[in-house]
Amino acid sequence: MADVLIVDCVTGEVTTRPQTAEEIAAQEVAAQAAQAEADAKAAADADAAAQLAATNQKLLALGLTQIDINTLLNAAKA
Amino acid sequence: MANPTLTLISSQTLGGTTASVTFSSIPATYNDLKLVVSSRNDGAGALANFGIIQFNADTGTSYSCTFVEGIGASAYSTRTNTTTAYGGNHAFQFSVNGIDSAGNTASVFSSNEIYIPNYTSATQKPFISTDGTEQNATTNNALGVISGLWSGTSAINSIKIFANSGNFVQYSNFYLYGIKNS
Repeated sequence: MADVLIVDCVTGEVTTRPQTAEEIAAQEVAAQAAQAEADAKAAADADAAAQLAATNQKLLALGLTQIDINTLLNAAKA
Repeated sequence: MANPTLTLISSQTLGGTTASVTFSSIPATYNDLKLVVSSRNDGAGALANFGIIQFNADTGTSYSCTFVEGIGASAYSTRTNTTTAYGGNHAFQFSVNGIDSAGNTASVFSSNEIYIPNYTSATQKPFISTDGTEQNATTNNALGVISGLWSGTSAINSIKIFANSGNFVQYSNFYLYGIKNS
């Protein structure tokens, strides 16, 4: 368990104390939310990558080369 | 003739893993505040968690911000009209890209500068934060800018700095400066 540090800017006094039960609970809730957000982003990134790969395969099947496809992608990004 | 000054109000270098750092009883004798943070988080992964600041222990929906981010070759922007709650506590995200963590190069710390003008005013208070991570660019080189607004109407007298998950590691540094216009 990590401590919390509080500095009184007038006196310079520094107080270090363990987290309260309420602070630990809030940190755990925030950690779970952060993990859920990271998982959702990873899933969305994976979906986007899969979609891009599938589209790339379709273009190759139409006869375009990978250089052609990359040229189109770079032009779209510009 | 005006003689602006930048005065160090307080600084802290962590001696061990720490969940949060709070600057309390901030004097109302300056015009602006500047918070400089060099930090690393103990979360798993790269840029795993975000740095967060909260004013005056206000956990309500008083915060809004706009992000602009560049990470690697990608760039995007977004706006958060309603504030985000971290463990039920609303606050500002001050690092767009997350802060360096276990998945980043060892011993690399993220850099943040947060400027808070007119912090004693009785009206809403803006702030701007700039951040850079993994400055050696081996894993996740990223830059970000955040423009935020805290709608509290009292002078800012405390700033709590924490992360949305995990803790700050040893040797993270926190500097609070006061700026006088004259």
